[in-house]
Amino acid sequence: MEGHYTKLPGKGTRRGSFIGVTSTYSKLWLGKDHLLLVDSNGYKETYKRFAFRDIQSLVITQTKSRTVKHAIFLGLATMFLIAGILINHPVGWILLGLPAALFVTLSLVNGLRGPTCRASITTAVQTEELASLNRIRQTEKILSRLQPLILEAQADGHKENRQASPGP
Amino acid sequence: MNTQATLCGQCQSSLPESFYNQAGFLPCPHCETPVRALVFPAASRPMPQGVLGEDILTPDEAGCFYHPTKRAAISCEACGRFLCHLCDCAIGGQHLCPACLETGRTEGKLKALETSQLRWDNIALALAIVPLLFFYATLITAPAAIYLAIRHFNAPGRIPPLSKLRFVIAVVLSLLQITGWLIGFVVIYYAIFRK
Repeated sequence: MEGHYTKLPGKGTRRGSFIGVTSTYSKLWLGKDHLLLVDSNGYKETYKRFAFRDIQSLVITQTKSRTVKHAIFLGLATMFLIAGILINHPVGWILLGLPAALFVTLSLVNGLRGPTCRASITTAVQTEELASLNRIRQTEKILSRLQPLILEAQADGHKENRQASPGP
Repeated sequence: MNTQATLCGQCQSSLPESFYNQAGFLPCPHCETPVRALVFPAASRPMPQGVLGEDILTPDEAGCFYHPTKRAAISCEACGRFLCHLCDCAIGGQHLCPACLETGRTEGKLKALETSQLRWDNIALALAIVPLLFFYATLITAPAAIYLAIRHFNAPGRIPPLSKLRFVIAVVLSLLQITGWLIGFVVIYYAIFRK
């Protein structure tokens, strides 16, 4: 059950956590016969295991986070640019142009990473949000990797007993 | 059957079966949010039934250590006690009795039961870096960081394995801080007593 893990791409922040202070980062690791969800606040990690043969469904819902982030980044960039224009001084241009450029870059990166989504995994006893799967393109790639593994595990799931249970 | 309904991630309403395993996103019938649901055979599979211990019928049959009136079905792989089906805790490919399972959990020997872990490498690194803001604290925190790094360097690792780099950086930074303090003490000593 335990042993080799492959890190799956993506890192996300759990909803409800406050930026920087109580942030809980979430990552996914691919095990031999299960998916490991690691939530970390930097000093403590909690683990949740989802055996492939117990996964009932994966639901991906498109969200508007990308549009919201675009609006925030471009709004801040515009604010700094307007302030630079109003000050109309070479030093002011540099001091206010740099953050404006930074926010434009962030907006571009946000755009290039593609549309956002929210993913959740369901087993017989729980539904858990997979915070690291927050971009559709990346999620589709991971799902195309996971789907055959889950189907393979469940193809002979009827023959298995509860022996290989990964724990809680 | 123990199947949870497949819900829309936005409005939490149940999705119809026509949404299952479609190639692309479809608008949720309730909130119109594009949603995609991958539903696997486990969703329609009945939950495996638990097996109860069987009664001992003849006196020469071995009984369960915890339930002497129940027939032994297997022995614990850790302590060798005979167990009935009810007491057989199968986990990570091992068959254990409830006592050994609890011991394994509390002593952290069963990785499959571990649900949380402290990141000693990050704590040691933070102890080596953060107090630099309040320099005098490093007199205490630098040795503490070295102690934590050495103490937990070979501790049972994080479940997805990680490099020891943070431990090494913490030790190097702390040694530099201690060296700085030693040089400072020597300089002060010579300045005061060797004039």
